[in-house]
Amino acid sequence: MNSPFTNIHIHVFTSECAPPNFLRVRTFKGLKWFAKPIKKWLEKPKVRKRIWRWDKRLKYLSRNRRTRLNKAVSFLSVGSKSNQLEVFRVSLKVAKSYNGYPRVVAHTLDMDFMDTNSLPIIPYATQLHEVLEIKKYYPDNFFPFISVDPRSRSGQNLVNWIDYYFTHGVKSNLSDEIISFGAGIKLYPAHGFFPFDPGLDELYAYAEKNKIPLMFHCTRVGSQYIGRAIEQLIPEKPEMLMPTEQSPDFQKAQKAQGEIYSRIYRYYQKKKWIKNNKHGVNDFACDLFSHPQNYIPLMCKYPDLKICLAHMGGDEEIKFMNATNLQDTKAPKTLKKIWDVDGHNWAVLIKNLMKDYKNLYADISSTISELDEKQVLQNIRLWLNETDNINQNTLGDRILFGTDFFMTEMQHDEYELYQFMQSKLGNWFNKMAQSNANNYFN
Amino acid sequence: MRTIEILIALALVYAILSILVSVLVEWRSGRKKLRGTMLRQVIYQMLDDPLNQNYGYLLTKHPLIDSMKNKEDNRPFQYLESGLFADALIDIICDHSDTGIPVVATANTGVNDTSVQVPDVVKLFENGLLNMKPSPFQKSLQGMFAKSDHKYENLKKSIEVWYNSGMDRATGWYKRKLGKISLIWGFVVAITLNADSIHMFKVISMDSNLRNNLNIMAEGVASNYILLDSVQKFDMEQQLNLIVSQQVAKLNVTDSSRFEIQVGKAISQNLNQYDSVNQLRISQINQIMDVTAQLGLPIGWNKNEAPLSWDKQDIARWFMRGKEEKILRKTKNRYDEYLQQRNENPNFGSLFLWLLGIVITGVMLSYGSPFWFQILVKLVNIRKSGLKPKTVKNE
Repeated sequence: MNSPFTNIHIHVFTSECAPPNFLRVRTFKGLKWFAKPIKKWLEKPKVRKRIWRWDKRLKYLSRNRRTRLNKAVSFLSVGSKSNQLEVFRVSLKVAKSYNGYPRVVAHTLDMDFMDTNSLPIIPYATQLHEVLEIKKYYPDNFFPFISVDPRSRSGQNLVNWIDYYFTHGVKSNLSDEIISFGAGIKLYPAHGFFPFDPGLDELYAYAEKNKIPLMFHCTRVGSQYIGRAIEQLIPEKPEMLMPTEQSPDFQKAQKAQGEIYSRIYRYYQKKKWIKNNKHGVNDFACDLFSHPQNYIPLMCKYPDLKICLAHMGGDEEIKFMNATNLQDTKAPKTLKKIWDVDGHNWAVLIKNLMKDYKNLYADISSTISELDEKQVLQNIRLWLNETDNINQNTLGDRILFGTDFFMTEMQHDEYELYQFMQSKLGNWFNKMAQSNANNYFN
Repeated sequence: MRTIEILIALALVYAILSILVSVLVEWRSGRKKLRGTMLRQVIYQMLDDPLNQNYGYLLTKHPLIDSMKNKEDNRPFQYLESGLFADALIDIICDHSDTGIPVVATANTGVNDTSVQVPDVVKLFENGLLNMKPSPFQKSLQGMFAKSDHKYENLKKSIEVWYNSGMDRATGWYKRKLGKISLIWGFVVAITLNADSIHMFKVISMDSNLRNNLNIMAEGVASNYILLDSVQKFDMEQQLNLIVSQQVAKLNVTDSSRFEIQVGKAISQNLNQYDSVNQLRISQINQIMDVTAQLGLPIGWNKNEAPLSWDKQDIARWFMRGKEEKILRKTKNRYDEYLQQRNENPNFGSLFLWLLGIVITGVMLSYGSPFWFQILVKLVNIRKSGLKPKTVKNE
């Protein structure tokens, strides 16, 4: 029997689940005081259509800002729907046209700690409650990942809380099987915590023991912590969960720890890169939370933990991943500056980590929307065909298919993304969506 | 008696213009979804429970309620019946009792057995309450549940009573909010129509023909109002119909050309391009404009009347008081003299009185048409107990 067709990465939360400044309009000069009315204004379809048209002329905006604006408008196009069920139905409709019984994985997001100035209208508890209702309606299609944030719950308390979602569920419509409410665990470090936070230690142990897959957001773009206390969240030497000294991978973890600490130090040396500010401008600092190197200590400690780093590092990083010298590329100046201080191209780093850690996966979501760019497509093909250092298996066996619905809706709608995959990556599409996804879940 | 007649005429003018304000307020609040938005805010506030869930959100998204929404333009529901509110809220709390099926269980190990049982809603509600974290909202619900004597009807009834009292307060908030909006629109109408209360008062007091016409119409409006108000609740549209039905055309109108309304005609020519609600509102505005035009009310912008009739020399003369007097035409009577003084020989006082007149109109119109209709009825009753008005003659 074939493995079910799986879209590993979509979102169904609505704009009410996010704090008012989720779109970070405050970072656009002159608009910073009007986050709420602008959000309300952008929720009007007519306004969004106009922005869509203007976007082609917005050459003077930096690529980063344009991407953010695109995401903002995309987010509101679908995110302003009445409820999460309606959002899910849009994505399911597309997936069903490719497969009769698709498995769509929706990532919940705990955004209660994202901003220090305001809370979302719908707190995470209500978002989750609504998601469980969708699971009851679509037990065989809807597979939510439960979002966690160590600032909300940590340690054994977190495990006790999350255990309910994996030990209780609903009856499948296709068989007598009881399918658990949760399909996996979602962590979004860019919202203001490190994935190696010791408060997550028990959770990782629980997930490894029960074979629950984990998904981490891992690009420099996307939503991020927009509060005003970034310095408090990034100590110079943050506490880190580490494997025992007897562990064979202890050396690796220690080396990673040293590099992580020195990167934080370098970021602090840069003026305003880590600086408390009123407007939630933490673009540089939030990279420290999501950095691929942060996963080394936990992969060393929990080698059987299934981890997926979403977005393959991001299209910008993929585009220049095979350059001999990053500073000689045509990459934007800011990105070159970041690479200089960071010391890594994330796509290269993730690819290399995949070679060394057999349970590390990546998904192509979000990056799909840039498959029409020749360099991105070429580098992804190369990545898929490379082999790991463990069993000489191709890395393409651990790349998953996802669309990041509805974050890329402005560039390409969901149908187009599926078509892109089919036309640009051919046979890889089915492999990613079926057997790779099956391996990730089992 | 003349004073009463002037007051009746003024009350009628305010009643007509405040219908216009009501039309505009309704139009604006409809476009801004004010009623629905406020209802949602109140529900969110009533069901606020940060320790558990956002029950306000869950209630508005409950299929029973969400299905009533206009999904095309995302317009929230404008009204929520208390019974529906109670049913939806009980459902939501009952949901807390559904904790899912243990994954280790299979469909053959007891899961099917429970699915065939008819669930006892009250029991589910009780379990739902127990599964909630302790919070002020949970405490309120527990209080209602404790008094229900484990009967669904009693529980629903007490939630309904609570909801209705919440809505009574919300109605007060809504009215206060509308009052503020009416004040703004009152000023907009007063300025747009150049409706200067002091000028209207003076013209009505001096122009007995106009006063008489207004009084005849007021009498008809008042008698019908009493008749209709006793049968049903009298809303803005009925008030408008009442005014229009008074057959203004049959009255002896002195100078309907005084107020030329081109805007209404222009709008009605392009009426087809608006949706049905907008068309209704525009036609209502047109009707009011027609009535005011036919009555020959002393309102509107005209370059022969203040303040448009004031030229630069008039304004310059304010600063050279006593140095140069303007030579005025000789007039036949007090009315013409007043008009000449106001329109052709203004001073600081004229400007002040004009501004004051506009402010008074704005404030008066904000009281709303029901208020002015009631005042009108009372004044007409007072007059009826006295002498009948004399026939027309310019004083």
